[in-house]
Amino acid sequence: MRNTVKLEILDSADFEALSIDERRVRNHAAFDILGEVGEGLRTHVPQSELIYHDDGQPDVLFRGQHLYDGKGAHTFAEKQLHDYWAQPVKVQTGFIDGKSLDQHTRDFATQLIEELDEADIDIETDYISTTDTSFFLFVMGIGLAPHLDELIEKTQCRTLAIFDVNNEFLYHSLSVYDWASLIVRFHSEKRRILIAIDDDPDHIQARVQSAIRQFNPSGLDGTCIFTHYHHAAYKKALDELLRDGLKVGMMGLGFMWDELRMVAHSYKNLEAGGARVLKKREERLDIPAFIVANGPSLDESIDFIKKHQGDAVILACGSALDPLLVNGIKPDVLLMLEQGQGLLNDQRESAKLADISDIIFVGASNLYPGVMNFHKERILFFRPGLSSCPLFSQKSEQRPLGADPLVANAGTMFALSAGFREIYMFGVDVGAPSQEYHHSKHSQYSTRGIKYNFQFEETGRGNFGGKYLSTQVLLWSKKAIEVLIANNAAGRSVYNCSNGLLIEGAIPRHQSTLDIKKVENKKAIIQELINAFPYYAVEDFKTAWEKADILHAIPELIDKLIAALDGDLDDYGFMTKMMNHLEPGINTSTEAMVIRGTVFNILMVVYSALRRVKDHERMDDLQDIIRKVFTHTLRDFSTECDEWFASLVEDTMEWET
Amino acid sequence: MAESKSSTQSTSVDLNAYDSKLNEAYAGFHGGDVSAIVSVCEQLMSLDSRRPEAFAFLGLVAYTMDDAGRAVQMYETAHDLDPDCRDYTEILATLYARIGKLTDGVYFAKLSTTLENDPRFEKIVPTALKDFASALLHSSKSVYHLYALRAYNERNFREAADMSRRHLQIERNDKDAYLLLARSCVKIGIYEQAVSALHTAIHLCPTEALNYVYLGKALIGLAQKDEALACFKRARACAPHDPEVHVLIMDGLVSLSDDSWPRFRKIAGAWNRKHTTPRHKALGHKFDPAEGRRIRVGYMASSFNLASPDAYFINAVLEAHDRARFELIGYQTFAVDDPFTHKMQNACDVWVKLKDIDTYTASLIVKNDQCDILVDCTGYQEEGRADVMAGRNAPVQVSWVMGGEGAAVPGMDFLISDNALSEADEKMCLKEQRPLILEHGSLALAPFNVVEEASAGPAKQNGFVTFGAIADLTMISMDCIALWCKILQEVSSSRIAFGYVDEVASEVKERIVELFSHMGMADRIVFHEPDEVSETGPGLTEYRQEFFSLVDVLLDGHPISKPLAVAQSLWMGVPVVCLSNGRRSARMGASVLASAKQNSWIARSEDEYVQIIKFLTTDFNTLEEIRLSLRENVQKTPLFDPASLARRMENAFLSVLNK
Repeated sequence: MRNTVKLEILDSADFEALSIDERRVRNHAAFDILGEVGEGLRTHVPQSELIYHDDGQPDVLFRGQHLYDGKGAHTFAEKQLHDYWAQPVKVQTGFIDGKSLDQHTRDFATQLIEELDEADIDIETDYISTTDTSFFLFVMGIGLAPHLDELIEKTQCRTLAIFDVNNEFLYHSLSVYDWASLIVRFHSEKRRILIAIDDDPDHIQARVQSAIRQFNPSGLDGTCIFTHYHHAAYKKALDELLRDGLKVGMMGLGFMWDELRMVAHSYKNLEAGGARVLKKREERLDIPAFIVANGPSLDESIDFIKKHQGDAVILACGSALDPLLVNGIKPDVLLMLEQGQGLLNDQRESAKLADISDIIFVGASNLYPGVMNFHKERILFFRPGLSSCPLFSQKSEQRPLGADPLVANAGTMFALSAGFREIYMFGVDVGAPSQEYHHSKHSQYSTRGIKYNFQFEETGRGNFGGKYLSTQVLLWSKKAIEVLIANNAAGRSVYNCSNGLLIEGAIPRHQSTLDIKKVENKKAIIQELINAFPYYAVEDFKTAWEKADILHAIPELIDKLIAALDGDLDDYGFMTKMMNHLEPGINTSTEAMVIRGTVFNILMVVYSALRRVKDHERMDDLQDIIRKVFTHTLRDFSTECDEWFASLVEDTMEWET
Repeated sequence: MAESKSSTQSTSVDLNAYDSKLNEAYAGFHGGDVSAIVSVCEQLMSLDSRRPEAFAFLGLVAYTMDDAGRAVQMYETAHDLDPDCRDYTEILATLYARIGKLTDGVYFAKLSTTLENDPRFEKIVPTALKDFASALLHSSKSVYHLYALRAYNERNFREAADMSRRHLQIERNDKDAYLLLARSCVKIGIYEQAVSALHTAIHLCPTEALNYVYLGKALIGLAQKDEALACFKRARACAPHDPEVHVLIMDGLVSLSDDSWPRFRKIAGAWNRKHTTPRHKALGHKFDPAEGRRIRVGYMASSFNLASPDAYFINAVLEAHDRARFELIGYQTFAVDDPFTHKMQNACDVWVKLKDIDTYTASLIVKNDQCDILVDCTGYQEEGRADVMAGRNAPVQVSWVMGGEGAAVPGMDFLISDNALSEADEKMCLKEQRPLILEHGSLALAPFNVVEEASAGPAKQNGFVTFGAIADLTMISMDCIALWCKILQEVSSSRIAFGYVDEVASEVKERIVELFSHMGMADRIVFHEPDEVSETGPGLTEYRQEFFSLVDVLLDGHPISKPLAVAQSLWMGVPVVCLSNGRRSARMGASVLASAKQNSWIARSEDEYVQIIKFLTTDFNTLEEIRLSLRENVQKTPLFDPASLARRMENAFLSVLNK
């Protein structure tokens, strides 16, 4: 029966006229398109019973209890929807004027606002949008699906994501709801539909974040979240998402300005050969790894690290190098991640404290050229979220997931992928006890008076109890470390000895309880480790650059984006078209990755304007202005990229040395 | 496959019949019907047990079922029976290499080079099972023990037992695996297997205290309580200062006879003196209402999950707490969450997982959380953190336990108690402890999510009374059995139906029958079990609803009562009679009955117990009336009013803070 049913969109009368068996066969065939869920439905054995009330309304009876309080699905849903629209749960970003975004977006927004003023088109600058439509619709609970049609109709969503904790009600809904028409309609209109069966709140949260990230990071504004029935997993997931989890779906999409530099730095770091590249090692390293970051609690751990430095491989994460050197500890590995020019100076200053040339350097390919030259052994990896990654990386093991956003993530990634079985974290605080005490007292922030600009406005659970301050970026880093551990720590023990924020998956362990065994052959183990990483040759570099042909690829992409602006912008279909070219969920196209972060920001401005036009009669005028300004901006991008890469290849760029 | 050799060995066998079955086995293997293959193999063995083919087929079945140890065993037997068959040696080489036994693997690989294959058998062997080179590359130690540990942490005890058995097929001397197998078996009530596994574990490691502890627990499950006591003594001698061993022993002692009971307080007192932070050294911070913050209450439990009956009581109160005045921190001492855990997490402001965290660090965490009151809901139960409680990491520590002992737990200042429990609690409290007596009971539940009406009971239709009892020998003493036998004598033609639990192991049934035989009442007991064995947890499942509909009156256990079962019974309209004397654990049912305003079913003595039973069962019409109105009567009482209990607990907390 599978895949042999011809699926057509039926009107409700035609669907009603089908027998239950015919409906189920049709719906099963439609669900097969969705993969995993379809398979689960075919094998599901129901524990409850589909029943019909006297008025013909369906309901589900489970252990003597009705799903719909004995009212029937439609009556229940009607009231629930009525209540929902009176007080909808929505994400509202307000009108985005670009002020907090990158320079390119700010320029776009300024120009757009000027044009709108000139044309006398008013945008509602208040928080709330002037429409119920939204790009995303998230529905918690399927039941018999009596609520779906109205929600879809009102929101006109382009991406519908439905969650349930088990297959039970979905199974029964196949008899009463025309899933086939819904799925076929969405597919034909190039709208997305995601149905997930999961009772783990963390998974639900991750799926929502991934849907935003993958389908449209610019389309969060106005997102409707509807809960059909309550479940602890939904509540927990939604609480987290509405607190700050939704933002995570949008974070880390690089701006064009940055991406151009990422490519240029990688180009310069790789063109001469001499650096090794990361390789995942499954072989066991019989020595513990100490991941040392520069959190304030590092000060409490210095003596412990010093005492055991001969019996562990010490991985210094970025600015943790200075506090270690000042205290007579020579780390074995130094990790660096950021592209900033300032790291060059940091390296110079650190080199004054001790000879750092024999410290193994492990860094991202996009580091400022010259940073790695202070070290004899250099191992590079590619950050999967950056445009330099698809351009230069050769194998998946060279582009480890979870090595960013901060250098402590890179340290954790390296420890997990290099073969260490016992991993201890020190100073990985991802937070601070106070606004004043944000890093180790021996770090450059104290010794060289470098200003730390972040405000600790967030709080989180302390690794050793209580509460701890943090920032959004640090919380993001924490989450990324947790994912790294969850996905890569099988067969490994990870302990967090830092007096900072709790990191799920790393067992809190106070250093006073550790029993670090003596290691006799540390030097040999480290040599074995270095030898495992192959060199990235000059030939590898040349092949990669020629293959990407980025000088031609970017203008071609920009032409496609401009073409997507043809037609009505009001149904947000243009966003889907642009997303198809920009591929936000995957990181395989260098040209898309160079420009997409900034294009997403611009789309956010556009989307928030489209949803807030005060006089809907002026919608066409608004669209014309958006088309004009957007097209002009994209053409400028093309010119800027062309000039940038030409200067790189011709070696006319200026670099500090 | 060495046809000639096998043939000469089986001259007395009907060769045609054997060959015909063998063909059937080959055909079955291609069809993939495992049960049919197993059945044919049994027949092959019955025709000629000295031929190797059946073992070879069973080896393949074991391999496809991911039981490498069993597969090795089968092919070793097949190889013994037919040492010249290359297929068996090749398979053994691969299997041994894969499970990390390289010497054996290389031996069989070398041996293979001198032998010949059986073309027919060769065809049905999966390529991977003969790929020695690949097996060498992927050689690793048995992972079944890890799977077993994970399953145990997930409270999937059957899976844990199964995985441990598989592991032990490969690693026959792994003492840890025997212990884990035994612990899993104790959890699912298969006590004889637990005893057997522990005998081996003790043989391998006679100094491991946990072996004796769990042996004691398994023996309690078989009502061999004197022997259990000896095991606990041995465990204590092996690890006199280990908090985990101490907790488990104390838990075991609760099930022992009245003769052993006085030891409990003595041992607890001695432990406390040695290992508990004295009160004057306890954490100094004190709640000051002027700070304008909420009172911070921590709840520590190993039972925040569906598998635990205690969770129903704890969750009811957590959800009913006044969150405007109280900030709640949940301390989870076990590994894996389930939907009930999530529900409880939602009821708390902060949720902390303490599993696998050492005593010092866990204490630091609790200390830094600055709870004003720390409530321990675990007492002497597995996965409890008596080690942390002993450190007095909060200025006030309160014990609130639903089973076992709440008093005499290390580090406790107060014990939530009620009028039904206070006599036992006062006797048991150590020097610095005292009960906080709550009016109207110390336990409450949310009304059960069951709309099935209570039934009239079977007595009228049967013409005799059917008593219900929980088929769990850890709950009942010999004195209790004697009392129940007396009831069977007094109430003519009556029966006791044992059930309620997910599965009653055959050895437990036999033991129950044996114990009733001592009093000549074996023919008056029946067992009522679910159709399918499953781990459904302690909820009011369909099976339990059915069980309650088949019994007229529930007899609560003694000296261990199951308060959740008592409450479920009342909800389903089944009167419960409790003998409330002696230790706290024996009075929990009485506490539930008192909260449900059913004090007339609480007996203070055995004579009173018999009188109450006779009163309840003399007139079937009255019994029917009681049953049909019971749910309505009890649902309006404090037992099903968790908000009221939460207020009483909050007031009790305030009273101790103010002092």
